[in-house]
Amino acid sequence: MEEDISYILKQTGALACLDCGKCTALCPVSRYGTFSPRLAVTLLAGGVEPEDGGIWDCLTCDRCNLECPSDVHFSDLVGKVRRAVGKGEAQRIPYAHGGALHSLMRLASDPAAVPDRLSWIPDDARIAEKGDVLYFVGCLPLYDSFFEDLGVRPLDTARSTLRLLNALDITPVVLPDERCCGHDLLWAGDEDAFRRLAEQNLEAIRRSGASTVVFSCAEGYRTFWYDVAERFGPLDFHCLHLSEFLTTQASKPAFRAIHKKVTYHDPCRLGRLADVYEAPRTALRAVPGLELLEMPRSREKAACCGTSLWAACGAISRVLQRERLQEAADTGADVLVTTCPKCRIHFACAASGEGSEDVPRIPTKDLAEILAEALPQKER
Amino acid sequence: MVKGVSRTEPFIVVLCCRFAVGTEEMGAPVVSRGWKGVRFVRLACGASIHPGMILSAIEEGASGVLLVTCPEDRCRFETGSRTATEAAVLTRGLLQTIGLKPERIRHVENRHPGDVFKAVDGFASDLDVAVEPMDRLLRAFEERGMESVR
Repeated sequence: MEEDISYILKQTGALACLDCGKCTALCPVSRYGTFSPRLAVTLLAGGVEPEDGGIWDCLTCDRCNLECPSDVHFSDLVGKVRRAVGKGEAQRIPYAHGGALHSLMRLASDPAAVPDRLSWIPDDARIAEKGDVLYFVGCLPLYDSFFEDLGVRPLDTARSTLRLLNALDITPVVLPDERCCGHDLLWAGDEDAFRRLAEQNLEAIRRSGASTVVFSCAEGYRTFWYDVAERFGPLDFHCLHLSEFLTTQASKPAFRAIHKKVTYHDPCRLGRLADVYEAPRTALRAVPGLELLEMPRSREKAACCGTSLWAACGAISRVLQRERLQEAADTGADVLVTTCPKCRIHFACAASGEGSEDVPRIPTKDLAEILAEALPQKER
Repeated sequence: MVKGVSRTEPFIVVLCCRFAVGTEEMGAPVVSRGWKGVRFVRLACGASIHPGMILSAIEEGASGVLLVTCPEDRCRFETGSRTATEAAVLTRGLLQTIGLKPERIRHVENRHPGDVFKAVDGFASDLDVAVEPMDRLLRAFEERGMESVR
């Protein structure tokens, strides 16, 4: 594995690190803990065990990469090191939720498991078995059950997405045997399970005949657009985030006015890791009466929601979530809009339970939900 | 090999509250020796059962996971049985979503000594997992003056 780490350090340009400390100054975790990206590079280069080098402290939010004068891609480095470690013995992954979600994703990668995931679809929604446009739902059904107590209702995002597509007179394919996109397993270093999931999803998409796959989830989009394509590409279909898809359509849904102030939280996976900043904002501006207020840290400089891949969730995560909710509330917005179900779950978690009394109670909604809310009554 | 499916030896994991009637009398070592195909995990309380624990047992190859707790009105930590019930219901739903059989998880409340054995027997039979006869265990029970389960 040492050779692997040396190769990864070269491949990601980490050996060119100037030790300038810009990454540490920008890293959200470094502000409250002992972790530092540049120190992690020094430790890894010095042969320290990766897990002692802080690879599980990194949120892989990609904030440090933007300002690095040596162009070190630290998130990429962390992902590769985790995968190199994952090839060997079991990693000491600091799972959140008892590792339940990772277990589910690994179990779901088994070809013998045949999911039937269409029970959430509303009776009045139109879906197809085959067609040009496919909607990739992702882990929303799992999160909906698992985090029921938080009141986030992630499946409302999926239902809203269907309503939006139907309102455009599109009958999307929704796969009954769709599996998790594998994002969390990949970033946790489990390349094998990730590949199993990707292969089965690709086969199911191929069978559907879709030429465009629409994602409402930021992580699913980034995973297919970049990680799956990097390993299995070029893909036979276009990957588009829902916001991008809506902006590319010649006919737009006829939105009614909603008189609300909203602020948009750029998820790391859709923003810095996929470079989609404008499309969600364009979609929000298309709703009459909706006023978009920007937080001081937005777009490339957006703050992370504090946790990634259902692991390493702790006191620092909670502080980052509080900060972000305060920032959103300070804009005067009525609603915090985002495109990542995980960000919403983390924010809801930060605002619930003991010790959360002083956390701003700003409601969160997925972009799809707020857009579907603006559809005329008959199409909602 | 994908864990959880390509197993060669089917087995049942019993996540068991250490205070559940009967199980504390027998002790985990005796139970685990007497039963082939059953792995007992004794817990401080049913309240420590969570979906991650159940799913990791399935991931490691268990055909089924049986949760054994005290009845709700007898739980000395008050929430043990309720927590286990919630964990079982949630995990069954999650298994169904990913395409695995929810019947692989069962929760029983152990009201009388020997209930656990009936429960394991019934669960093993429903899952079609071979469990060795429990004669030795039953004899041990009877020697202690406890009610026979057969």
